[in-house]
Amino acid sequence: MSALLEVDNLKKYFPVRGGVLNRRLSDFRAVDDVSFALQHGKTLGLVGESGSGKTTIGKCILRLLEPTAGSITYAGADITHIKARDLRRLRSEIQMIYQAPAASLNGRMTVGQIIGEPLWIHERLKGNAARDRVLELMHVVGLKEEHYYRYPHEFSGGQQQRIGIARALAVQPRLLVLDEPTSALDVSVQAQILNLLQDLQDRFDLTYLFISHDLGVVRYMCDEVALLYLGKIVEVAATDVIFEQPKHPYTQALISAIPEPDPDMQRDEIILTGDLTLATGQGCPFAPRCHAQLLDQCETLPPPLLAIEPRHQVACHLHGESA
Amino acid sequence: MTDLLNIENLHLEFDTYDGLVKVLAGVDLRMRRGDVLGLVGETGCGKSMTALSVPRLIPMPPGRITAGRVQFNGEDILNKSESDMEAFRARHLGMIFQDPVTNLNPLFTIREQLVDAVLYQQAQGKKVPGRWRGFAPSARQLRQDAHERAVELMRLTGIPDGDRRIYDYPHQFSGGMRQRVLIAMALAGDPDLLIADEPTTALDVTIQAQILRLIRSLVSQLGLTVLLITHNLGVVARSCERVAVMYAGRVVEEAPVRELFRNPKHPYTRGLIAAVPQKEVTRGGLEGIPGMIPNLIDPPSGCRFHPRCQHVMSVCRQTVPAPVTVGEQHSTSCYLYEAPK
Ligand SMILES: Nc1ncnc2c1ncn2[C@@H]1O[C@H](COP(=O)(O)OP(=O)(O)O)[C@@H](O)[C@H]1O
Ligand SMILES: Nc1ncnc2c1ncn2[C@@H]1O[C@H](COP(=O)(O)OP(=O)(O)O)[C@@H](O)[C@H]1O
Ligand code: SF4
Ligand SMILES: [Mg+2]
Ligand SMILES: [Mg+2]
Repeated sequence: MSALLEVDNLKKYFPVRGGVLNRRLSDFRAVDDVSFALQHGKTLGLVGESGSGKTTIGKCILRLLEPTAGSITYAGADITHIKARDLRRLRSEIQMIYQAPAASLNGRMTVGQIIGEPLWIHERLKGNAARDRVLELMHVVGLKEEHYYRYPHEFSGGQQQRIGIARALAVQPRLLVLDEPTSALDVSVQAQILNLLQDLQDRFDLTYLFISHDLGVVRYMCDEVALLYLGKIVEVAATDVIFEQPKHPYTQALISAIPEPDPDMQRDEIILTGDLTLATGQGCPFAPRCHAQLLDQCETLPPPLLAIEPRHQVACHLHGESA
Repeated sequence: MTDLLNIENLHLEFDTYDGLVKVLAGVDLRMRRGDVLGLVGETGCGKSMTALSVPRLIPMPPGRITAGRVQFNGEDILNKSESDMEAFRARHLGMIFQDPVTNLNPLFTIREQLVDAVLYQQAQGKKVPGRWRGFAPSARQLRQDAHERAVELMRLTGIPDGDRRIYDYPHQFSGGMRQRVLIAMALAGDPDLLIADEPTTALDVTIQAQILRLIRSLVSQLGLTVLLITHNLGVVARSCERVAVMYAGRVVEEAPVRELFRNPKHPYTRGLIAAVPQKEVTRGGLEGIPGMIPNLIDPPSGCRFHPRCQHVMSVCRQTVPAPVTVGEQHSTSCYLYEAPK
């Protein structure tokens, strides 16, 4: 089985500027050597706290951002440095769904125009043919025909997200990068959208890169999960492995912090001290917050991401060769 | 024992360009001293407005309370004068809100803001430090005391190095630390009731866990009474002793936290719990609640949940269900549980 998407040693550094000349003083490593593979038809979850680099990875894949280093392979072709004229073709293969539906929809266009625009751009489809396709897409995502001439602001957040999904589907993509698609929604509406996404995946044979900070949602949606901490993957494995046998102390803490709606749930809650800003730039980035018994190298050597099982990788000295 | 807080049949409307929005339609809520009550429900159901009716911070106009009352310690709040209200807030209430960024002034150090909060409480007659009783303390002595109290509050809320960090500006603190500062400010006057409106919603999960633990420890250390508002059932399950579930301007169910999660009665509560992707739920198994929250300009008749309810009966469309007792300290407003007349 070959991967539909492969990301190898991806780096995205942002310049930190300062001084009177606004010179580049140093680099901020938003994504720092990230590798993963996403199999056709599957869903890979990308989890981490805000600022961990999730959106940046998504934008690099869509080539909305230029990677600093590394390579991105889609359906066997290297798309890392794809030419501007080939971008349109790429965008008909890979689409992105954003967290804030309102901000990502043009408020001056009707729902029909919003969903129809990509049909015109990519297929030069217009008139009745376009209208029929738009109505079909609206039906697929659970919008009604009478919504065609309405404007996005007339809709609730959940309905707006449906509009965004219909627009993304218009070009018949194979891969969707979903960037916190339900974070702004209430739980009852979130459930509707998650179920819709699952239906669409089965129906159109879609592959998802599912970005979220909500581990409960990720558990429901994903086949595999990668956890990010400060731009690096700290653990990746099949979803049930991540939830049943988390190895990285950060994964363990995140899982224990899921606010489950069950007051009886017996668990050893791990409360981390401090926040992301504590990283020292040396050793393991998580070391200053780690609740495990630290080894000497934790504070001096960055732990590499190593396979402890065939499909389970962890970046932690406690689970390395030396442990 | 009289209730610390007793909200009865509260009705609130907003006059808007599009029409009259019937935001609260008969909210009942009681709290005793020492209660930790969670108020849950989805966006727009009236949680914040219910909470803001206690300090009377609802903007009026456009808001208007058309019926009901709010009692604190047996005293009616709604007809107090504005100046009495100011003293009342300072003496009895502490408040924290969702977004720590907008609630701290970036131009002043934590010391200036926290010391001000303490001095303000004192000016409102809350506390005269024991050792000055009988003397009129100088402004400098008061400030010195307030400084010490501020550092003490920072320690209490788990801000390390308070005596040094008190000179920092808000931007030098992380989101979680700023939320702690706001909690410290809310505690400055030793409030009888702490109102926390979505205190962890803007925070990452690991920081949320820290803040919830802090609130729990303040409850046990200080015997605080807390009204915790959240849209997150998991937050309630972790932090509260009792829960009130709101839907479209009414409390539809109320119970001790275990009872509510083990034995939810109202179809909305059940739907809300079933909509959370929990451990056991496998692919395709999550249940949403069909439809969406109603427009409160023209709210559904009778039970406001009826257009989304699977059990709707004709009576549900006609009259508003009254709360019925369905278990120990457990009540719900739904015709499914009303004994046939
Ligand atoms: N255009 C940019 N310039 C500078 N820094 C950026 C830029 N975009 C993102 N960052 C920084 O990169 C880090 C990762 O951001 P992001 O990918 O948005 O994280 P996430 O989506 O996980 O919250 C953050 O610290 C953010 O401030
Ligand atoms: N100033 C206002 N004018 C008109 N409507 C308002 C105003 N403030 C709040 N509302 C409405 O009151 C309802 C309840 O709001 P709120 O108490 O903030 O809900 P919650 O805190 O549960 O999300 C919402 O439908 C909101 O639109
Ligand atoms: S009163 Fe009727 S409509 Fe309302 S929740 Fe109960 S059964 Fe459903
Ligand atoms: Mg992001
Ligand atoms: Mg609110």
